[in-house]
Amino acid sequence: MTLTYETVDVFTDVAFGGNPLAVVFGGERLSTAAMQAIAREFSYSETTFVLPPQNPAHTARVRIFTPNIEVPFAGHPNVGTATVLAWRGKIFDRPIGDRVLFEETAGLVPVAIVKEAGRPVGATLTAPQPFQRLGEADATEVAACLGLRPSQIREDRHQPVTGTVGLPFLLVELTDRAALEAARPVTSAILSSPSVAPVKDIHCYVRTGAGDDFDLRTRMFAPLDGVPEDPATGSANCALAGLLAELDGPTDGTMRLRIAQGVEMGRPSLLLAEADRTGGVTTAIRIGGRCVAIRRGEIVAG
Amino acid sequence: MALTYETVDVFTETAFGGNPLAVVFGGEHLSTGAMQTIAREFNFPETTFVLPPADPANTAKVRIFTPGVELPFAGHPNVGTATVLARRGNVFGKPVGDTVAFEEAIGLVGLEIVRESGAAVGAVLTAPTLPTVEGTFDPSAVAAAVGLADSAIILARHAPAHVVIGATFVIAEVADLDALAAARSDEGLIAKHLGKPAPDEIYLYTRLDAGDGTLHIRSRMFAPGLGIPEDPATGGAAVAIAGLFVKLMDGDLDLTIEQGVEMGRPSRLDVRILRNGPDTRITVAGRRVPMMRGELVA
Repeated sequence: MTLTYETVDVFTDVAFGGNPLAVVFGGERLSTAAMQAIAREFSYSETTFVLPPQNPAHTARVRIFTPNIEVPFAGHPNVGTATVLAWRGKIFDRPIGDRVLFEETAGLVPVAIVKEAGRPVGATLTAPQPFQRLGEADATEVAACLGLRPSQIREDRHQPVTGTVGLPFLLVELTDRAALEAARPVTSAILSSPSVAPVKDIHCYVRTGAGDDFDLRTRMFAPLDGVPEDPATGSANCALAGLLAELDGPTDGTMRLRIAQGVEMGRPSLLLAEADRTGGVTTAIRIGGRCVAIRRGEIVAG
Repeated sequence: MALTYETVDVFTETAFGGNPLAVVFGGEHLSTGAMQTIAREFNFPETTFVLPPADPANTAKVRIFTPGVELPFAGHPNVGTATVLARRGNVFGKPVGDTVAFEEAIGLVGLEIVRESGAAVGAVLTAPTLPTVEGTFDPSAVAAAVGLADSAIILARHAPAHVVIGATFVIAEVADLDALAAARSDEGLIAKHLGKPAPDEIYLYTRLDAGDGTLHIRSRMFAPGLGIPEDPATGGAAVAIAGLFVKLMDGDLDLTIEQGVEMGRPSRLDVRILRNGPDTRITVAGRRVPMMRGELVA
């Protein structure tokens, strides 16, 4: 079967912004190693393979690869893959409705299609696991990993903390936008920091003041996973929304956050996070955004 | 005009090895900014745009972009673009013969097409100018910039050299394959130890085998400042190191370079230094594998 692909920019409505994703079709007979090689060839932070579902009640099985490894779950690949399927209108001879259900290593991932005037423009996914804190990191070590001074790490609300909804990230609040702009990943410091090295991937953020178009501005650095900086990270922002829902969320109701990422690297992205709260407990975390079609083609190498 | 493209792996005979390249057609009306944006979107070490030549005697104008900047010259984009054109058979209404001439920012770049059973499988690039050896870098600073101990840098044949051919290179010999494997690409370390502006590309190599008129090395290239943490096969650097060897050695040399092994994209570059009296010529030969084709819809 011919391998075809589409690429999309995810979490943006402007071409060449957001986070690029390659979605590959026809890979039923590929080995895991062959999928990994193709993902590395695309050189995007993630590439997905759309495969027939094991349970016909589900839309598809979706496997997600970074250039280096297969990951059990990630945000932008789900939003992008769901949107591409919605544009196609059908997959495996069945129509795509308002909601798709993907079989992934981390579990079943429901993704809602976002439409405007009847046309799909993006998607919103529900995190597969509840938010969990996995441990804290030393602020001085974190500052060194980001090329910042320790005083640029905010600790009054929370110490740098590892949080996850399926993929762990070190969540770090910075003092202001200048600190966010100055941050850069220092690989050697990450490798030598006892509290950061086990997590590796750092998602830092600032809470903006009145007059900003966004509630949060964020940057995500994963140099040891082959991604020096990621323009839009669904899973990291789900985890961040989970943390902030614990700190600031309503006892009952939904907390909504407009999150900017990728601005400093020239790939501006907008992620819309939601956390449902009941009786002071977070019951669901969602992340959504728009997508733009960029290219399509076929893989000719045998 | 629709933008179409082909991607190839260059300096390899094996799919998913070598150095990926995207070759874009139909970009006559694109601004430089738009080309840069497309190159960033492909996120390959380099993307080329094939444009009509200013002089109809030449094959094409070729512009070369990394994800971060336009380059006046580079090796694998020329080898890859030449073989893509040879495979297509014609460009701008003219057949592609056994040689091509590309108009580039550095000047006119000539390549010879390598054919097997009539099919174009690779190309030989003749360096458009000889590299210049501008001086040396402090060995301790180079070692620290790539996370190695001072003792890992070998000084017996040359100190870390500053070589310019389009881009600026630091070329350093390291002790062995272990030292080469231990080196790291870290933009922060490079900026800290090699200053600003830091050299574009850091090229480390170790000698594997030397014979009469032959040398076999393995290399790694780091250019995080160009948006390339590590490059699997760098033709421009192969020209640069040949330029350094022209200064250090007499006679002709067949130089075989393995690169990209540590990052899992093994590549092979065959370099020649040919001297004819005062004239010195450097060529770099490589093969390529077709990978993808498609169109830009954005």
